[in-house]
Amino acid sequence: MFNPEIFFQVLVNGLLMGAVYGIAAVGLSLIWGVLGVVNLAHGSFIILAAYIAYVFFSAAGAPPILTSPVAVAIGFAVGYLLYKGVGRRVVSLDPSTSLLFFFGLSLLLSNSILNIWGPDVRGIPWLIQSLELGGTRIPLARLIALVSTIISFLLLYTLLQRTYYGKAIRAVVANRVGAASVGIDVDNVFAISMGIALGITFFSGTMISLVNPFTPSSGDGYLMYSFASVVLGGVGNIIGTLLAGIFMGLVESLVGVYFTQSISPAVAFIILVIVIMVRYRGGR
Amino acid sequence: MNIRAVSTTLVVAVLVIAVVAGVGVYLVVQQLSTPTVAEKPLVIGFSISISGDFAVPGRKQLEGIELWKDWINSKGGIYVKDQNKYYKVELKYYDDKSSKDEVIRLYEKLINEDKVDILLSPYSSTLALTAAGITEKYGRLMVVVGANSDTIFKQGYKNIVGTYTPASKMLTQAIDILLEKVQNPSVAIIFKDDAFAKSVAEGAKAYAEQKGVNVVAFEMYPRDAKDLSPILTKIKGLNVDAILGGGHYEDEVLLVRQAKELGINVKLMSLLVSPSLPAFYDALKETSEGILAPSHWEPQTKPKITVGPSIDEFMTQFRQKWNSEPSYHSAAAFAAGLYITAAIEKAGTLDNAKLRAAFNDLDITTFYGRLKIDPATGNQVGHELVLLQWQGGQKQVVWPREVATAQLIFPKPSW
Repeated sequence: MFNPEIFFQVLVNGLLMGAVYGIAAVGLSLIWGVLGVVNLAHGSFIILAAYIAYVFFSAAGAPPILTSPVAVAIGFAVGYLLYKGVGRRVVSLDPSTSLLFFFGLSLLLSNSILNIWGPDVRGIPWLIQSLELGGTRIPLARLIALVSTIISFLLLYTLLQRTYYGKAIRAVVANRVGAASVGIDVDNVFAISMGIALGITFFSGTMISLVNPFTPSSGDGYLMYSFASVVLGGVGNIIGTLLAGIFMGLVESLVGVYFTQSISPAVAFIILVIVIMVRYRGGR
Repeated sequence: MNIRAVSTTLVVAVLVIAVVAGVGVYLVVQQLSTPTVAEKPLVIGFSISISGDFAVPGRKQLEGIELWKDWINSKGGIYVKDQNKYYKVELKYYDDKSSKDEVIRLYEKLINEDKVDILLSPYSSTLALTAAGITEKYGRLMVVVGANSDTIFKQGYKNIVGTYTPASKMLTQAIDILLEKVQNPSVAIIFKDDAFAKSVAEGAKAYAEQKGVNVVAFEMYPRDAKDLSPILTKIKGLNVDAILGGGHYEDEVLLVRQAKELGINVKLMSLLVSPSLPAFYDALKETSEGILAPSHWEPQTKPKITVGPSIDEFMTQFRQKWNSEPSYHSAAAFAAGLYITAAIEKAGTLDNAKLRAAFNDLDITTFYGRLKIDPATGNQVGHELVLLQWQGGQKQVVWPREVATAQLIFPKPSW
């Protein structure tokens, strides 16, 4: 029996979670698109940001929404310096080297998190409340995460469309050699892209800390969702990636309620495989 | 030969025999009365999750084993009768990173390279089941601690011994409470896709149906789920009296949080493992009010001890050594050590097959509670659970009533 109230709740649930999956994937998409490397440490960076938000909350009672600008700044600095320090040596080598580098980095990060904060589950018990609108419950923390995601995404989008560095980044994505030949400092663009990408990734980590509990090993799951969203939405296509994340959230929610949640990851990944087959048809 | 010569010979012979026997008896008695200390230690081998998903309980379990090692060594070690020697205990362990592949590799290594004397299981049913496959292959005894899926004990394995109450019994007390308080209760059982959680859920379902409780939902969620709103939305319209189930840590905290966000009010909510740790309260604060969970042990219970230290001694020594509070994982791990000690003392040997047989007749009570196995399967049948409830930021024992530290809050306050 179809119940419109439940259906609306299902859509709301899917949208709220999907926005988090989407924003979490944008940084991965950006690095992959601009630098041509897959950041396997992406999940660990997300969780690192969640722990940063946790520290601010437990020490000063600051909710993640206030911490997120700080996390963005830290993320930018980490990304920029990571590229200037090691990243530039890795990016110029073959792809398997960069995969190994980022894999090693993810181990280093997750074990450092484990040693600093211990293995216990952490969560931020801030605003565990909901609005009720005509039988549909809208969790406030998740609503805030959605609104912040939209605002930060629009800022990122404007940055890429309107500013010199945004245009330079897009030029490098379109044609690396061409961009260099018109005087764009590609190396610097790479560093800034990595900074922006980790900035937005750290932002997503604070949003995750706002809505979900986490442990030092939670990053793997988010990496998996992010990876799927990037492939589904298009590498380097940040709008596509965000929408793909929302799509994954909606599919999970619909399948979970109208079939069973135990198969929802399988369904999401079957859709992913179909999309890959259709989009990347033809081969060489 | 004349009679005299014969009798002289006899007397001499008797005297010689008496002297030889006397010296022999003297030597044996002397040896019995002053056993020596073995040059080599008795090595207990295991893998444990220091990192990965099971790191929290894994580390607590390890702390319990380490403390037992110190305790038994301070008592001089374990006496092995057939060698008339006291063995000091040494631990040989590795981090299995909560991974099955690591467990397979490490148990092969512990048995073949390290040649440990007795094996303990890793934490979690999934990993213990994997380890049991290896130890059984070599016919080696493994004392299972930190794992209680009934599946482990249904494989026909001949060399395992359990220390936890079986998973299938973990929610039966919650169902008993419900039956006492509500007429014709209905429940939703939701659980993680995991060997342990599945065993608990299936056991709870069977028990509920046998008692006439209406199980209106029986749903599993994926291991890596980051959103439990689908499964909760599905049961929201069913107006159940109770939600039973869960899995481990991240997912259970999420389950509570999202149940509140979605406004799902029930009279009773019992999870499986996370509420026994203080981190559960820190992550949820007042949202934890009234949430129940079974526990294998709580320090407030006072069993009549036949073996090992008292609860107070255990608590004091644990705090001294680790500067933290023990959990049931730690207590059970310490008790597993006491259980092994009792079996070795009973069997008088380190021979694994004879030790396994010795466990069949053991019935001991440690500070962790009673321990007695079903001889056929090795599953634990003597140990009893208690039920915890978070009340005003305090973890209270509310069931069974004889050991309760606070009155059960029922129904659970609405969110």
